[in-house]
Amino acid sequence: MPLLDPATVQGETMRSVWTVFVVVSIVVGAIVYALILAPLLFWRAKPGRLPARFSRNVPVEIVSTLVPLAIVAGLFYITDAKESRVDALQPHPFAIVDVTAFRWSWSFDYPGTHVQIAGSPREPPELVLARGETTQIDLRTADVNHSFWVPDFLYKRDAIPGMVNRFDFTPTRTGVFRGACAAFCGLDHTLMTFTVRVVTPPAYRRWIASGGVVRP
Amino acid sequence: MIAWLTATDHKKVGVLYLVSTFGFFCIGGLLALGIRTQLARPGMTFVGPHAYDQLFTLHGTAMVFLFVAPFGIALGNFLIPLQIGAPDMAFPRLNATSLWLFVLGGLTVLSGAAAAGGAASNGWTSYAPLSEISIATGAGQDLWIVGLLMTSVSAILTALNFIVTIFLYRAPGMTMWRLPIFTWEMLATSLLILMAFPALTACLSMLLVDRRLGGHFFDPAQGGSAILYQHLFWFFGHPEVYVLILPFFGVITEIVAVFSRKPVFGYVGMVLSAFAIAGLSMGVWAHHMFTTGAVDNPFFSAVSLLIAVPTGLKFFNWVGTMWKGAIELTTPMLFAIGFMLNFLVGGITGVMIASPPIDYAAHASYFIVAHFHYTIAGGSLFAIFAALFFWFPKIFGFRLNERLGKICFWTLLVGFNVTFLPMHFMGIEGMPRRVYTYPDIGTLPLLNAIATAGSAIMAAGVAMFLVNVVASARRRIPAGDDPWGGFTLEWATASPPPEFNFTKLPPIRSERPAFDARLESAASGAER
Amino acid sequence: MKTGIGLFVSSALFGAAIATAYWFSSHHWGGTILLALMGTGLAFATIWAVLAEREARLDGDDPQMHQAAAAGERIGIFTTSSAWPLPLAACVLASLLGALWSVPLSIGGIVAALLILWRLGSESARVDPARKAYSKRSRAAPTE
Repeated sequence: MPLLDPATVQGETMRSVWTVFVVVSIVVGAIVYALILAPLLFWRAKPGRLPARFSRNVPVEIVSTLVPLAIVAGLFYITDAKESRVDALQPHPFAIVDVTAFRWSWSFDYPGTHVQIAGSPREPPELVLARGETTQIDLRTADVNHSFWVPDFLYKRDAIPGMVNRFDFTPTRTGVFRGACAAFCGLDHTLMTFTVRVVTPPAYRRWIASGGVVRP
Repeated sequence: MIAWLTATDHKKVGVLYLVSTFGFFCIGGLLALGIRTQLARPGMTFVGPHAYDQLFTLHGTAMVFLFVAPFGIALGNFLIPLQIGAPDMAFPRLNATSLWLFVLGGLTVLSGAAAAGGAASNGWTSYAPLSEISIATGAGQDLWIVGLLMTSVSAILTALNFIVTIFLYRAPGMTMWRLPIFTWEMLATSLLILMAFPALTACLSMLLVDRRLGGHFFDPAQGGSAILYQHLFWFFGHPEVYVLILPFFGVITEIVAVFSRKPVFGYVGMVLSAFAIAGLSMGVWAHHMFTTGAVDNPFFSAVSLLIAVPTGLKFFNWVGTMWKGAIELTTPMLFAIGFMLNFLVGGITGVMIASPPIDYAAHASYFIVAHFHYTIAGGSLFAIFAALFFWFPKIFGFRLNERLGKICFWTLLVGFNVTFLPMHFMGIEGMPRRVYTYPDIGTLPLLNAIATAGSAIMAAGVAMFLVNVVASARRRIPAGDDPWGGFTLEWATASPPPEFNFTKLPPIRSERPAFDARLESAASGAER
Repeated sequence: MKTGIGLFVSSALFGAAIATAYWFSSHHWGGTILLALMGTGLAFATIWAVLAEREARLDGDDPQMHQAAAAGERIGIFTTSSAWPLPLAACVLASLLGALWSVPLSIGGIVAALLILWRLGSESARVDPARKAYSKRSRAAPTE
């Protein structure tokens, strides 16, 4: 379950937002469920029982507007604070990778090195990142809209014609993670997958030095 | 036959809308079964990728454009003149023109399936540049655009008709603040249609110009803008979501009040919240675009979260209406409660994905699919069944079987939740939407198998409704004017209502004229 | 009608407010223009409603009005059937499909649609006398 154990620093920030929202949701949901179901238990039609006749209660209506307002205000405060942390770019990242989406695969270029990886629908490419270091992704598309999604990083970003999208990943543990295109892009959208391999910084340097040939 | 093809009476037009939208619903449902069959196990080859793309495109298009939104219009057509005590819509022939624009438009969209290269296959959103001629070469995409242009013009004309009817053709004494909540919600919906649908008309026209007349609106290489398509589409698309739900908030309000035997709790709040939702929904379009990196996320997040407030007020008012009532669990009431329970889940996940840090993970995954099916299928669809069971006797003059109806309700409730609850977890596991298969990893195969089983249960529920209609039509147990003890004016006339609706109108002195009239005649009966 | 005007005015003001807020939050032209157009449309609706309100004496707005007051032709005459809506919709479809694949079909569709609109007009003319009587009488209502 990616949600329980996100694999980047940014992912952990987003997970903390998930936690708040899920807890609030369950509490609010349980209360409202109880409010909907209680009248069904207590006030069913029976011969001889007359229904109440009230049709308003202004204090209750005001409270039932203000309480949700306070809740969403709190949720927005958390959202805004955490989002700016997730979206922030480090001025001097450890590495920059040019990611280009095309129908129907990805290419990963490491500028300033000899590493260039291009995949195909049948042979998905692999993106290599260094653990504990911040890598900036510069995302472009060669044709239509795509979306770069790594579920274990709890993050995706769209690739849109005429735009460059930049974002940071700081992986916290080594391993291999699945990635996919999340924006429908035609016939082989389903096969437009990739993997992300997070390795230790020394292994990463060896891999770069070998021009991406040696298995990291 | 000729009488139906030339009908301009709002009741006949309403019935034609009902039948055609329900037909589109059955087609959309069968397409959904195709989708679920293909996804039953990893690596299935029930259909190929191209056929699968057409399945989900036509399923989404049919359900959104040809079923749920026009079903609200169908109900509005039948009920608004009755509820306000008018003999017909303000412009009966315009109304019939809207109907046929809609029916022909819907058939045009579906006719793409017979075109060379198949039907449109780029999703119900058909983002450019994917839907441009250079990539989507088939005629199916053109037929999709032309068909939807027709339905969007139809919706705009109907909205105008509704607004004029409600403003100018209310019966004596039916002041605006005595309008039934359903009529109020339809008024809010109509305003929303007038604000939002022109953006769709523009968007589709621009796409058509790009495709067939050499335009470059959405092509950045030629000075166009790809993101513009998303802005235009969602400027229509998110208000559209509320066009899909506001009429059904009205339906639920009416049904809950009648079967709690109490007036609507917080009438003014209900009206104001409808317009608050409609207004705010104009300012949230780009929450569908949080992951584009091209929009002002905090603005759209804040406004989207705010919509939870008026929506929450509606929930509290429904509870207030039931509170200390004398609740009768008839089939329409059961569906209304099912609506609340399902819609609440969709509403809460809606608050979650209004937060960009959450949406970054959830966007375009099965979590989103689960979210909007909880609002549109668990919400609107359940309200549609509530409305069908509630107003069927008024529309056709005979009742539906209650026992079969209750079985239908429980089947749909179980089937719906078994289908869509697992989809939340598929999304979190990393399954994108619109994929024709998925890897055999983790719990994905299990979750998908459960969802497919659930879709079969749902299909059985819908089949049970059709059986109910046929069986009840054979027995034809007369409904009488007012089988439920209704509150609003449609229950003060015959079932089905005569031409021009009323031979005699009761005095209108509150928002429950039929109830007042019943009380009065009971009182005068007791005096005698 | 007062409520209707109030509705349009508040919607138009909301449109202006959200367009302004959006501009200062995002500096995004496209969205601001769309929202401003929405507000402008509502402003036009407001003006229309205010002008219409001068003329209208709506039975529906009088909380104490009796049903007998609105009997008979007073509420207007409504067509119950017309042969034209279906052909009109078919013409719209033909002109759109023609625009893609066959110019003659498109022109034919437009011409036929115009002819139908003309026939619809003459159909209305038969109903019109009653409509005119209705609007005259409703304007004269307060003096009755």
